[in-house]
Amino acid sequence: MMKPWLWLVLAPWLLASWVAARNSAPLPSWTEAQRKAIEANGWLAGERILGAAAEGESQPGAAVSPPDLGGGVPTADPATPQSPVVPVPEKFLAAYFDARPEGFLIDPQGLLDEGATHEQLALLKAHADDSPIDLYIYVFAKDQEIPGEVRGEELCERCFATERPTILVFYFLGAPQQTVLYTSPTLPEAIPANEQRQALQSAINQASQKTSPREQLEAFTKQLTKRIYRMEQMLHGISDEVDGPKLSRARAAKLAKNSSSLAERWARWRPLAQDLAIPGLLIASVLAASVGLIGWRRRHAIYRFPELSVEPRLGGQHAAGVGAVIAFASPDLPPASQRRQEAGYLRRT
Amino acid sequence: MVMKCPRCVQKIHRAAGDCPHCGFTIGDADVQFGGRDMRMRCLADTAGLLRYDEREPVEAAMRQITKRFPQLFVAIYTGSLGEAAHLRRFGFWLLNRAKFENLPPGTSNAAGILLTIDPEIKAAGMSVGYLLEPFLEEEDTFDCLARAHSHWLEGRYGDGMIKALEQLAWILRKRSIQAGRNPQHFARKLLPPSRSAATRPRSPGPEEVER
Repeated sequence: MMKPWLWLVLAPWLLASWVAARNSAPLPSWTEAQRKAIEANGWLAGERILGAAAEGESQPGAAVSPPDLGGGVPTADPATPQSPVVPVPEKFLAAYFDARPEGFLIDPQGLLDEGATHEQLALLKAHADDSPIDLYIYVFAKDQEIPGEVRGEELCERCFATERPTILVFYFLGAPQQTVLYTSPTLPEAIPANEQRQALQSAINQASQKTSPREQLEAFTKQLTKRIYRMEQMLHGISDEVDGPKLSRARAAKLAKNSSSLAERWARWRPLAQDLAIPGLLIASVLAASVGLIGWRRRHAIYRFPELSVEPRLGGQHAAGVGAVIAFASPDLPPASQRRQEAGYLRRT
Repeated sequence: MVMKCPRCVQKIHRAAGDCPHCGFTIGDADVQFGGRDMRMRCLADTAGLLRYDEREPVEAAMRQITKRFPQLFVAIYTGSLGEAAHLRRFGFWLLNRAKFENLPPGTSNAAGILLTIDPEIKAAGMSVGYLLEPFLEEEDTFDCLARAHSHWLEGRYGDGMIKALEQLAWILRKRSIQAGRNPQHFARKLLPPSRSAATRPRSPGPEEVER
């Protein structure tokens, strides 16, 4: 048999759980079109382990192609996308490639929403403030293809040759493995291609650990800016010729700190906070009411003592109970030291 | 509460007509403080320690105890007694001889708790009637006085009284709950010593052994 106060504590919790269960969204389910679209990208979560593809791959002797770390323009995963690719719409080409961009994030197609754009720009601006190497990110859709007449090396030479050392990244939203990295002409003298390739691969690895395209891009940018710091150490020899602040280790720490700003954290926790707001308020209000009720009952409770028969002593009809006697003459002594427990005629004066 | 003589503060047995150590009885207290009943209010500030605006909070704290513990009442007496040792005797005498005017008729002083303060010798004591005697220890009354100690040191007698009464209410609540759960524990304190213990043969002393 549960005690009533236990019910009082458990009831809000059960009620809040019931409300949360009612309010929670149903589990997502694939539509056929979505499944086909994802399969077209060549990867479906769990398919390699659980699906039919596992049978084929588990065949002995199945070849595993190593990543291509060859020369040329560093790309992290040269595996060609299996989905049908479409060229970048012609109307955006000028905005992408005609002139040196004004901002560090180039997204004329508006593939990123406003919040993500703002965060990315803040991140890249913070990097540019602290680093002698600028980072420009061109954003494309994952199923888009850069037209053949556009060459990244040519773009670097045309737009970034006379400026500070610059890194250009062609980032495909939702497919970080397709990312391509270019460097301005002043950079490769100090930075070996191998280092550039490792930096890109590291950034892609970080991005691949995320699920949503927005988080992938954020993780990619953060990791790449960290790796650029290593490049700056190599660039030290030519940094004197470059007008721009030199990144110190403390400033790198500041950059990392900036990257996890309050706004980002809030954006991460906001959905959870919204889900828990109503049940949390409910629980808090019920708990507060319970505490208030208990306090009110305690203040207004009536207490009684059992009446035991005590035989009178010393001739006293009502009382002979001798309690404590305490002096409060000295502020230097604690109450216990000023307690009078002996008879008056036994006390030294 | 351990039964002690108000004069010699030695332990006495239950139902002792007079103190086996010093022979003290209520008659001795009557000789010292007066043989007639003393009419007074529950808050008797004869020493004039409380300002006008301090009386009401103190009386409210006293009423609060009666409200929460309807069997009990609190009385406070302030006055000059001359010596700290007199506080116990005076508390014992007053709780037996006082007629509290503002108590409902039929209220027995056995349900009283008396706080006595002597500002001249700077001492205070607490006495309780027979009703509470099985439930309160001397240590409990000391805790109440200790809560007020710092206030009384600074001459803030009203605040000290309120603090002492708050502590008293807290202790009474605790003891009441304990008594409700296990009344036998408190009833056993009033039982005479067990027969076996009383008649247990005493071990022979050194003189008897030699003999």
